[in-house]
Amino acid sequence: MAKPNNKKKQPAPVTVTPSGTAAAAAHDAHGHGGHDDGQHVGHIVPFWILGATFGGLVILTLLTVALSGVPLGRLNLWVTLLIAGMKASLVVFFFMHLKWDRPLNGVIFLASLLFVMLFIGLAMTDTGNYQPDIQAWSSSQP
Amino acid sequence: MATTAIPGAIPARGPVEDNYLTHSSGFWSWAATLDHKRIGVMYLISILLMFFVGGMAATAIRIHLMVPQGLLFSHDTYNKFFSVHGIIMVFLVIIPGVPAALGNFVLPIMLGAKDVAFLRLNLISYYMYVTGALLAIYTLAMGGVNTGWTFYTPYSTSSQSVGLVSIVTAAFILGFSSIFTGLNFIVTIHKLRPPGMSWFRLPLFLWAVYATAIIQVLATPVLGITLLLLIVEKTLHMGIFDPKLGGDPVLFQHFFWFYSHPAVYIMILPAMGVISEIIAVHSRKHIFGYKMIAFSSIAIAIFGFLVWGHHMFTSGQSQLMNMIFSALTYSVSIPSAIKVFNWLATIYRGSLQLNTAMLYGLGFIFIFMIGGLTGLFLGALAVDVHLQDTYFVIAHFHYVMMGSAILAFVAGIHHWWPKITGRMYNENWGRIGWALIFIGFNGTFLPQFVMGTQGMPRRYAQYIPMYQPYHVASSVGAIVMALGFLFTAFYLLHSLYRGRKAPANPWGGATLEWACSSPPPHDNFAFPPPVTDPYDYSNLVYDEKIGGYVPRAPQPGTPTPAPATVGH
Amino acid sequence: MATVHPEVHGDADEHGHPPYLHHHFETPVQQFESDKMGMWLFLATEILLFGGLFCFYSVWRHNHPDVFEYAHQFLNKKFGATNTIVLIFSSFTMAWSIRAIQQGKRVLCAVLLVLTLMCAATFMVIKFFEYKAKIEHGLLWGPRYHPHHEGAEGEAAAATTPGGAVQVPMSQPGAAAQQAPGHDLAAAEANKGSVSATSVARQPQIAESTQEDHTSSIPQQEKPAAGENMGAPPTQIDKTTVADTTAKAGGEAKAGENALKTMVKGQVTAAGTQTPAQPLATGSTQLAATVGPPGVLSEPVPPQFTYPSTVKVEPSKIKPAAIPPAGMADGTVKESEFGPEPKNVQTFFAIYFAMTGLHGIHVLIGMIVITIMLVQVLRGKYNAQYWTPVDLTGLYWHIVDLIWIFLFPLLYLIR
Repeated sequence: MAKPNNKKKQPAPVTVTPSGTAAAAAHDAHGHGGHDDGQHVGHIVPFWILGATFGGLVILTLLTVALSGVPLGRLNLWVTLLIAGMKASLVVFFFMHLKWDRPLNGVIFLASLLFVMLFIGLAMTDTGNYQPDIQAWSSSQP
Repeated sequence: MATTAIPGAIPARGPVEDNYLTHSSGFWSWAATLDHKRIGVMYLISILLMFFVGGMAATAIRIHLMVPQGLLFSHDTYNKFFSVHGIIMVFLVIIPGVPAALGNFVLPIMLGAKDVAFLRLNLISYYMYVTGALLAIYTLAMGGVNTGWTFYTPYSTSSQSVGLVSIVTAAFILGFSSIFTGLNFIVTIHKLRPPGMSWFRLPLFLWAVYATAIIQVLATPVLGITLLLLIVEKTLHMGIFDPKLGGDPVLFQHFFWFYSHPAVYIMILPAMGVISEIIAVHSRKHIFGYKMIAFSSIAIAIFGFLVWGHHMFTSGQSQLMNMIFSALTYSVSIPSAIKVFNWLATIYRGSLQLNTAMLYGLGFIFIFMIGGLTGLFLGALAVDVHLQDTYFVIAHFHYVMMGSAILAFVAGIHHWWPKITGRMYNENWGRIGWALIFIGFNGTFLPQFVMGTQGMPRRYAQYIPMYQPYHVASSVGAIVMALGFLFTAFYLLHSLYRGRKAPANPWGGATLEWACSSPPPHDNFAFPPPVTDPYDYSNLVYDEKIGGYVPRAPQPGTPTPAPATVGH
Repeated sequence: MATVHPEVHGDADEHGHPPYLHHHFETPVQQFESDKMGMWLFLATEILLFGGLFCFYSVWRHNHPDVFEYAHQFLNKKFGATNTIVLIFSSFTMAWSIRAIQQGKRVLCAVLLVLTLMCAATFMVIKFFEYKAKIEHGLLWGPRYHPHHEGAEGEAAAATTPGGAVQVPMSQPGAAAQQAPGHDLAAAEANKGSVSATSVARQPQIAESTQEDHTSSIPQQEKPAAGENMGAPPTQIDKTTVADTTAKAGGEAKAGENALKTMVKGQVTAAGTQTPAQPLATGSTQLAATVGPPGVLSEPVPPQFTYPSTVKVEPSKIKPAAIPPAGMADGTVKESEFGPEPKNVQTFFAIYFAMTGLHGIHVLIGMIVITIMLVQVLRGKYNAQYWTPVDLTGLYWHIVDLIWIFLFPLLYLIR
């Protein structure tokens, strides 16, 4: 499990210059920062991306409300989840900056989602599997 | 002092060394400290205090069970005793145990860092632990709970246990203490490694603590929501788990065990990490199969999330899930077995130093084998139907939680005692203490396996006379073990006043914490130390004058192998 | 062999370092990335915390889709959609405020933070109105579910006491109906009704609880008569264990103890309580019930076993809490403007309040943290050189938004 040593391209970097630049520059050799010069911290999101994300989120919200009025049977739930997933991706990648962030943070986020799905999946499977027992009993009651 | 030879170590400044203990004094210098070493010491004291309380409850239980009608308590009081024993031991002793007390102290130094990543968060974690402990004690004073540490619904939510809300709140707060500690450790290991400390140069204790921290961060929040829902159910009658209100009690068990099974791996993984260190150092031999042990720690962490249903085989879980969980349970044993094989291979042809820590280490292997294998018995569906809720289960989990996790914690305390306190304890007394504990432990819990197969149910305040011989044997063992622990506490405390001053490296370890003085200086390292193979003991020789190990002086003319330090 | 890089000094004080750089970090970049990673780990724990509630939701919706389809119609879609847009906008202003402070635009950042706070407040206000409407209509969880639907006759609406039992006529075995105080009996009957109406409870447990209702409210009843009401007579041990733990009728522990004494002849109670690890009692009958083929509950065989007389019997000292029964009563179908009401509708509202309630608490916490950020930005403590805490607050706020993005369709837009 090698330490990720990615040098990300930084669009429109801000030179945030702390006074200890010597230390920062030297640190580059250790690969800790992963940034090109070890000086600037973080990256500024261009405004148009923020605006476009907001617009996309609003459109998707209206879409999901509209689609809830359309009877699609079992697909309704999946369509809803799909649109919610798309909205979540917009928020996570652009508002939460994950697109320009270290991949490890994305791994952390995905891991939490994975474990939630594991928990929900197995619990749902189990409770679903003993429903017939319960129904068999309750229908046998007077 | 040996420390002057190591670049990066802060040399002693005169007859009174400045170390983390003497660096500053006064109540607030400890209460508001941001030094991980002091926080570790505070955790250690608090955890050992709670261990004593939980141990007293256990001793009381064992004495009560010496006669079939029960010697000491009414049934309800008995229920409260085993509940408080479980709650204290699980939430207040073993889960914080090695990570909070030993991990906090050792991790940054072993890593080569100055401290953990988030200093104030570390202190907050400690105070959350104290808050949880005080709430738990408050609950005891109010009469305690009789639900068992598992708080199963609908009993816990529908009975009038007045202490339930406060003890569950205590567990909730303790859960967050655990989460923040784990969070801190993950970031520390990822981000604060010095140059040259690649992942595969990390000592195995750090791999173990890292895997534990992953579990802490991912599993404990589910406990948090479970406890919140329990409180809400009890106070507002929301009807989540109570069938009378339309809820599902088996769902509570899913919620509860999704955390509580990974929790047992939170307990055992750091313990295994301690044992890896101890066995290598005291065998004077490079650990066998470093990568396999490292990967197996991660594997245990991940697989541990897949098996929680094996606590629910007889609770009404569906047949399909029973089979799936049973099969998955067998998979978890594989990484654990890999570790045991590697430890044995390390010991083989090693030059064993049978000091106290090593005795605990060897005992661990024996005890963990029994505990782990009996877990496999319980993982088999058909056998579990017979053994569930009998003393077999109690014996199994005490072998892994008490005999393995707690004894490894004690082993770690002995191993790092010179580093933490700057004193050496009396080795002969240590061996006596170990013998009492080891014999007492096995005497307590081996008969319980037999009792369990013969049908003695757990959590029973009284029993039929046919089980009495086993109970008596078990109780005698418990008393011997209790004496062992008391004796251990005695000689360790005694060493604080009369113990020989410890050298930097009494055991000859090659990990970084042995490079600084005992006790370590306030800042650990002046600048990042050079990193070498953490299990290469060939460069250390014993120096009689100081009673410890020092780096071998380089022979003139021979090229010294330069440890790789640049890049990862 | 020295690998020391002389320019990297641990004791950076002497060499001047930014005031925001903590001493245990080597560079600002290391500190920033550590802070970020720590925050993402914390967000992972938040996701898992809410994940438990989503599990509760999923399990219930999977097994009772009718409840969800019926009950979600009581939620106001317009309010929900408005709240969604409001939160999305607040996320936008939050992200923009971080951009502003990164550029050193303190005032703009402060204005945007204020906007974010106003959106959050709007969200809470709308939530307040939604909750108020639910409370007024009696659409709450568990035993507090007493719907007052406009224009619909529900017996619950007519005859509710706050959190009390629903008085509904029931057809019961004659002996039971004539004995025991009225309120308690009604409670017991309503319990039985609601209990048999629940579709998620396990059979033997229900059997035992209703068994106990009879025994506790009718101490003189012979146990065979009580047993005849049930399809599968539980063992003596089952009765005693359950009597201790699931007694509900008016919390009459004394009646329970009398029942215990008449029923239990020299038999031991399992430590006075049921073994918590197994909600079913440990008799062999339960074993047969659990391990049989799914869907087939075999006839339990009572064990031929008696405890020696030296074993003392100790009735439970635990007084069971008097839980008011659920609003649903058996045998009656409530109506509302959305049609007939399925059973256990109250659990939908339990889920609704649990999820939106926890989310609301997180919104409040977020508001507090954002206010602190606002103050610090105005004081100049966070600026173009050091804005990490604002960034981390933004991450937290986006997670709050993210959770609502899922809550809204899953609760309000069910089809």
